[in-house]
Amino acid sequence: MKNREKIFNKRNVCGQWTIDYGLKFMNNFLLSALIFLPLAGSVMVLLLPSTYRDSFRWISIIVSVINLLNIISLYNNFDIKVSNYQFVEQHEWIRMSLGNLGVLSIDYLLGVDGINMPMLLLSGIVLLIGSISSFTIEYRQKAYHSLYLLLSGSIIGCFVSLDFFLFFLFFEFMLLPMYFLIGIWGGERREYAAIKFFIYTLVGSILILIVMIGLSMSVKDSFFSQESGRTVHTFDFRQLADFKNYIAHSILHPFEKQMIFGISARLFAFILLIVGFGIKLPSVPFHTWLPDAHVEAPTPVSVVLAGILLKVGAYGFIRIAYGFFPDIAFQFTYIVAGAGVISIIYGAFNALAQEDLKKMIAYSSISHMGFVLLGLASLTVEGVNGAIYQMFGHGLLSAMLFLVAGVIYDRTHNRLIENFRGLSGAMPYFTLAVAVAFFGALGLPTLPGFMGEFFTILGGFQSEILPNWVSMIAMLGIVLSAAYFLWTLQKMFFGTFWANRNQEVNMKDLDFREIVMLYSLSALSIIFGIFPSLIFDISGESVKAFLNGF
Amino acid sequence: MSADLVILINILFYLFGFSFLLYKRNQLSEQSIGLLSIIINFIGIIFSMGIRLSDISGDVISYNWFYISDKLFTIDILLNDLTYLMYFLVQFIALWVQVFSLKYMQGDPSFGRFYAYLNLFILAMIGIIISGNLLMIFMFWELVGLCSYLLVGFWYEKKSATNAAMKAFLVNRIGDVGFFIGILLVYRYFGTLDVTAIIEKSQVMSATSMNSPIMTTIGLLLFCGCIAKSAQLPLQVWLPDAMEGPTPVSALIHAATMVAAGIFLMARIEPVLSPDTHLVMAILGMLTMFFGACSALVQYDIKKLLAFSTISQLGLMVVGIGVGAVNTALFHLVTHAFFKAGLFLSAGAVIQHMHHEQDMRKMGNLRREIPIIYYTFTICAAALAGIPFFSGFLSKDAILVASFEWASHQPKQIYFIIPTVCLVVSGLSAYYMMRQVFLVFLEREDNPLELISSSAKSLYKNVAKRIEGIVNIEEDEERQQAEIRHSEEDLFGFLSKVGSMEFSCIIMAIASIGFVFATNPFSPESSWFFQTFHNETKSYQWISYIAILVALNGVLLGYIFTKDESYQLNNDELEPKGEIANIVFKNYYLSDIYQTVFVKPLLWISPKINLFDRKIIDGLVNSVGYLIVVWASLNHWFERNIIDSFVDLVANTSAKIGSYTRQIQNGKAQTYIITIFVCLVFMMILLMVK
Repeated sequence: MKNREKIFNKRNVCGQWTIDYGLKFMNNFLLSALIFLPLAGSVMVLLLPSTYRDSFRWISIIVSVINLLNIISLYNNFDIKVSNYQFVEQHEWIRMSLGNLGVLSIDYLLGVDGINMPMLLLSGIVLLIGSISSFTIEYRQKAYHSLYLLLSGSIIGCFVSLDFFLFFLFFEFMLLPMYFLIGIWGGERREYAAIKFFIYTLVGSILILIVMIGLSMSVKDSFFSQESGRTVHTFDFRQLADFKNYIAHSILHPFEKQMIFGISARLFAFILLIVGFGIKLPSVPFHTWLPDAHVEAPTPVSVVLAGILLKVGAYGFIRIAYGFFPDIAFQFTYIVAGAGVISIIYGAFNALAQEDLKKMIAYSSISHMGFVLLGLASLTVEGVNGAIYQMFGHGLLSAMLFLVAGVIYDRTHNRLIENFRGLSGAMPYFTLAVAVAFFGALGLPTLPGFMGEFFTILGGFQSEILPNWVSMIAMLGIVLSAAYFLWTLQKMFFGTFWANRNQEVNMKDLDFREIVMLYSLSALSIIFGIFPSLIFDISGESVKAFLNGF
Repeated sequence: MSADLVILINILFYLFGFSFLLYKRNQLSEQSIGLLSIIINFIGIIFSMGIRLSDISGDVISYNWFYISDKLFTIDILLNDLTYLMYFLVQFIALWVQVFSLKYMQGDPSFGRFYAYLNLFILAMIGIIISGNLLMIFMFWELVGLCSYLLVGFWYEKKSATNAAMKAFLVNRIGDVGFFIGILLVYRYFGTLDVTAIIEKSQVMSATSMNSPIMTTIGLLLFCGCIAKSAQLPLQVWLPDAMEGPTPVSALIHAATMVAAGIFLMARIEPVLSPDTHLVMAILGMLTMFFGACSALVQYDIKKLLAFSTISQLGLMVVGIGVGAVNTALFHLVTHAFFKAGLFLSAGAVIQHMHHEQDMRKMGNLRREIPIIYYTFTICAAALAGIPFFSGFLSKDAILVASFEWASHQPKQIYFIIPTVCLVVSGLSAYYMMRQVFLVFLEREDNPLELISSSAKSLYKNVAKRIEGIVNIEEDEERQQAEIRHSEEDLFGFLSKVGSMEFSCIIMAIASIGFVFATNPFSPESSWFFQTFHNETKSYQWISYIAILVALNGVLLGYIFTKDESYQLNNDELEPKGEIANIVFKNYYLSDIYQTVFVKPLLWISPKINLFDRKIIDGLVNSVGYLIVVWASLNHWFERNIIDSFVDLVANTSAKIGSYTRQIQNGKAQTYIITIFVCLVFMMILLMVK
């Protein structure tokens, strides 16, 4: 008996050990799995013969679901009391001797903290919704899903990489699938929109590239430098954010007096970064690619574009522009906040004038992303946390908004607001989802738009460096957003039912797939709107540490 | 059970009611929808009475909501007498509105949706009432705005209804922006949003810091929210338009939910308000009261008149808070809630009876057709007019007294303008209520004295009969039996006439009688309200007498003028004659002014900005692209024609040279000789030159 028990125990221990080890092993590669699963899926779709056309969409859905589950488990295991990076994976990747200049060290370095964890969660959700939405794509499915999965992998890679080189790699890599997704599956002017998007964003990337090179030349990895006796240039985010690692008399050293075009090199680098990420964000006046890209892109691509890609720009603002250049960012508060406020007002005015539903939503995106800049510029805990929350909330809501536009476009191939009237009578389920999306976007409490706007503006008021009137102007955007959303709601959804060109027959209510997408996003919006701690808890400590640098 | 749990359960009930009814709105029958909703509401009322009896008072119950880095934001439930009062009031009125709607909304295809929205509306209002911090108040505040949007635009196929809903939401948004900035300033200067903490901090402030510009700014900004929600002067434009909603909704909005929220908010935070803010409130309230009453004087729409009277009464409440008599203002809020709900419900019954005709000129003599409604409407109207023995008299009088007292403490005589205007306007309110009662229920031939005496007579007769029946118990059993049977028949006969609509009206009318509130209907101090809530003022009897006089005068004048007026106005024209009357009728053209000053420029400029965006900014981007393309084609041309042609030139030249030199070697001796000769000559010349 005893023996048996022993054996049993031993076996049990063994099993436990296996599970433990397995989990540990899994935990060590969770972030890599997030990146490489979609990439593997992409390759798999490519390898499968085209006759398996129905399986492609399922592959992308399955991959997105697994990724989302992975992200949720990461989210659950995330330690909210720590401000450092967690789940860090570090592997040496490229070591290159630069002769007299020392050694160039590039790592495969991944990790999450409170700033990119919400973005990761958002990507998981929106990418899944996007893959469900891709069901409507019939034309060249194989290529589409392969590109979509490639895009998924590079977006996630962009958010989790902690090495500037790796970040830039993924950042650039997002453009390629996006270009084809817009250019092949887009609307009438798709070539124009795709090329405009590509070139515009590429210009931004080049500016970022310049700064990246400058930074790596100015920063040394203190540990390895000491160990090897040579200057080891690093791209590690953790090292770049620390002033102690800057090489004396290097071009981007905080006390360096070198000038470029009559301004200090750091200032110049910061300007390059805010233009580069400002294009991606997009901030007025670098925004004009956005309405075109959105209008021409197919629905799932619009969803991903508005839901996540814009946040990459905002994330770069926080992590790179503000994280590595806090001294300059402090001087640039007015400009960044000003760009934010101008985006808010200008975007809102433009949205008010649109006759195309999708364009209206695109401009409202510009307006809402302005709040992120305002919150960030305030450099207060409320403002920066609010900015992160706003990014998350806008991700959910803009995904919903573009799905809404997609629902109408799918049925009628028409998006003009004036062509529809009284849809609420014919499509009650759809109208409910629209109401949640519209009221969420105009900042109704219990939906995420409100908390984001509230705390970014609160940050603006709390800020010692921003005058109150800046935030007060931003408040005008809240009234305007109510105006254009309600106006659209009234024009399209109220009154007696009518659709232009006898399209009434086509206006059927949501099918099952659309209900799943829109209602799950609605539910998430309400949950995150009522329990903002789901985001604030995650971001709180990291933001505090982030603000210590100022 | 602790009070917070009770409230939470109550809120969850309403949430359930909202979502369940919205989900099942087309499956359930009207009866079950109404029954479910009313049961939920009834449970809420029991809860509200339960927590009043239970334990704590004046307490704040806090839960952690979320942290922003280290800063904690809490869910605060503030339980004090004001909470209990409003908690009960809102649900009580809502209950009767729901009972009323059973009949009123009967047969409407969106019956279920209506009840679902009502549940949400009650939930949002309860949220404001229990909230202990400004963030929560603001959240529920916005939800109330949403509900009003949904309910005012309930019949969404009607363009005017959706326009009115949008207008209500946008106007409220404008006020909310002020409120929002106010909250942000409070957070900045007090470091907290907790109402009790803010009040404590402001109480320890010195008088000078209390009257500092920043405190005034905060106070005025918070007041902005009230201006929009409670329809004060520049932003009252939405309220008359909101009459597009179903009448029970109007009753709810005007009595207990929407417009009460603004007054409630000001009462909650009154200790924070600086003296200057108080003064501004008093002046603005007075102006609102005056202009609202003037507009009410000339209306023909039965509901619009009531809407303007609400604006006027809300102005009076704001005056009350402005002069520092918060509890008195709240008292008026309570009495007003009952009689205004009664008025709107009765008006709804009238409209139903008239087959959705709202023009009062087409009514008249309804006294005979719907006597119950006539009585309820008249009682509520009398309460609004401030006639003694009715509830409105008590509270109105108290505010008038408070404002006179306030004015007497002020340094200058000019402050007496405020109470005087209030006094005059209360006469006006008596005038327009009399006018309405006359237009709707009476005929020209009716003599008011006769009416009163006849109704008194019938009342006396009935009472006497009853007393007789009781006294004569021993004397004549059989007769007594018959009497009882007769009275039972009477009762059942009466009850059979009373549907759910009439019953709600009756309840509201009963709640508008002075005895419900005070044992002595002439002194507000004797009311139960002031036993719980501290009364700020002493009574000045002479003001009460003047007020009574003014009110009765108003009634008399209303009777006399309307009697003449009712003849001249048999045409269908909507607008009254005379320029001033027209301006007043149109609510001073405020809507049109806003339309031309704000909305039109906005709609004019936004396409221009968009054009700018497309042509200039995007044009710049495109022209940069174009320039690059041009530059590239220039490059191409340069490459083709300059660089490449140079290469070609070299090649061509060498080819040309080759073809020339080739001709020399053509195999003919003559050519060779000539060549040699030429070369020799050439060389000799060279040598000679050297």
